[in-house]
Amino acid sequence: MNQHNQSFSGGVFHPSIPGGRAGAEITINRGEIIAYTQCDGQPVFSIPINQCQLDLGGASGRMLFCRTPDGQLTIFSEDKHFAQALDLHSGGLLGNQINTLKRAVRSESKKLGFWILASSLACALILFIGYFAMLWAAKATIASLPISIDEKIGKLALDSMDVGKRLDSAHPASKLVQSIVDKLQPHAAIPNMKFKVIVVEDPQVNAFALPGGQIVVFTGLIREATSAEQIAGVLAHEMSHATLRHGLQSVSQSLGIVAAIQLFVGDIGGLVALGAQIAQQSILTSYSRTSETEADLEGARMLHAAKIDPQAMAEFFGLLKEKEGDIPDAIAWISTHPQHSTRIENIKNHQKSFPATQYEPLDLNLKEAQEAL
Amino acid sequence: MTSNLQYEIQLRPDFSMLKVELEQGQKVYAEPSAMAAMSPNLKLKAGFKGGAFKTLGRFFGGESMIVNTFSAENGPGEILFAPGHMGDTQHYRLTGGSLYLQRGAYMANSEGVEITGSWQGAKGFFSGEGLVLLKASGNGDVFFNSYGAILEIDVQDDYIVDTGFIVAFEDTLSYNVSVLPGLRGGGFKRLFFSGEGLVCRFSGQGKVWIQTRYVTPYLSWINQYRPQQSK
Ligand SMILES: [Zn+2]
Repeated sequence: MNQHNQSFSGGVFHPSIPGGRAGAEITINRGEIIAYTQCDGQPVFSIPINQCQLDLGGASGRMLFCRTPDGQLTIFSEDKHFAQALDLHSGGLLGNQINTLKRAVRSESKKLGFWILASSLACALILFIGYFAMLWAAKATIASLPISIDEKIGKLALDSMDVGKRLDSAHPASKLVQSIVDKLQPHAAIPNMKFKVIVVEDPQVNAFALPGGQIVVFTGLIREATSAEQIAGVLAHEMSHATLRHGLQSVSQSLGIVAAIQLFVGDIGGLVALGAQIAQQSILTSYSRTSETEADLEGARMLHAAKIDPQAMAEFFGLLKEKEGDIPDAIAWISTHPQHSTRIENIKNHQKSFPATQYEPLDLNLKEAQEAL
Repeated sequence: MTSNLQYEIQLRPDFSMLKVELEQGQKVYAEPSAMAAMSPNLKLKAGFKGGAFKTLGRFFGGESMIVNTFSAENGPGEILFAPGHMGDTQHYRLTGGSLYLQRGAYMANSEGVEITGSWQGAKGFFSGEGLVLLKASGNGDVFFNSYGAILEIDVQDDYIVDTGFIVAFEDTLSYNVSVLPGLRGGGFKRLFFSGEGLVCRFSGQGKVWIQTRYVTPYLSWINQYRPQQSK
């Protein structure tokens, strides 16, 4: 590369130029900085390198100014190679001045680095807050939507799900579970939600609620329970998922709020199906930890209101924890409902905030139902 | 070198209007709302100019994302541009350097000029509404407008301007935003929200254009005469 022909875009200040300033192409040649302008009178300006006084500035902070000692003529450029070229051609004459400026630039860029970091943090904070604001907005929106939407999605999800062989509603086990649900129903947060139980023949110790209030209970859970109150505990928890509308929340999180609102308020068949599919998946995999805690606490409240000891819910977690070893299926409910020891603790603590009540044992024959299975 | 635009700024300074005479094949770019009148043979094309990032930059610079392009494809024609508010219009000829424009000051430019948003870093971040800048660079004509008349100041060393009065300045000036000395203290809210009392200290050599009125005090003055809304 021929260094002598290198040229830089920049400008000139000189009293002879109309307006005092002109754009210029700058080259360095034979110990001189030469600026070629388009001016009519004097188009070419030059400063001998050994007379040049350097200064750094401009709006970007990176513009290099070369001034004559009398300050009459200034040649400047923002080109980052300009300083290098000057250093190269000055034969050490400008070395000190350039080094001083380099130090100034470095401390400036350190400051800039700090501000970039600070601004990025501020942006991250805004995004973080924005995300939770969106979640909150979704929650608020869902709360204002009619339950018929939950029912629509729940029905579709259940219809398209192969849950297994359903027990007849006249079966003692079905009757037992339905009567617990009926007892809890008046204490549900959404008064007009219709809860319907489906008992499915399956060794899994599992149960789940669909949006809108349909609850699926596997016979494995009924078999493993040692009291009707424990089943009530699981049911209260599942009913709470329905009244807290966690199904719709996870649909809206998967679909995006806009599409979810479209789905909820519009009548787009395809989207409803998609929503049902997502609801299915999220129910069968698991809700978020926050949703689980919410359902635990709301379930405990319902149990308490129905005069059933919320301790039964914690008891059931404990029971499953014990049985984890010998019954592989026992972990089903646990695996979808993690952190059971923390949850037992949470339920106990929450219970302390309830007013003292005389809990009543459920007048139900669990033995008979289990034997009929 | 691009050919200069033929222009005339009429009715200065209060209700100025910019007239541009386009030769066959010439183009002028302008803020969408700026066009007031034009010859029928000029062709208008609305749209983004300069790719997504530059468009985004303009957006953050407080200007519309859309720039209208007026081109003289069927012979010469004239076009009139008016600022959105009462005030003056100023021309600047770019010769390879850059001109920084205060938010809302951009009006029009010729070919060869690139308008980008200019990330001001901390300077912009802390100046509230006071100082969001657009950067015009290249070779060609730029037109910008003010609220009130425009005063050109040739800075030779140091100069302090309230951020609300800055219209434009040349790239050769370095600048620093700070609270007006004497107003320091309790400035946090002011710093973030109003930009009031913030000043820009220019140093170096170059020109600054300031406007003779600042819109915010005018709005608060006029606000007290607004009829109360009946409930
Ligand atoms: Zn759950």
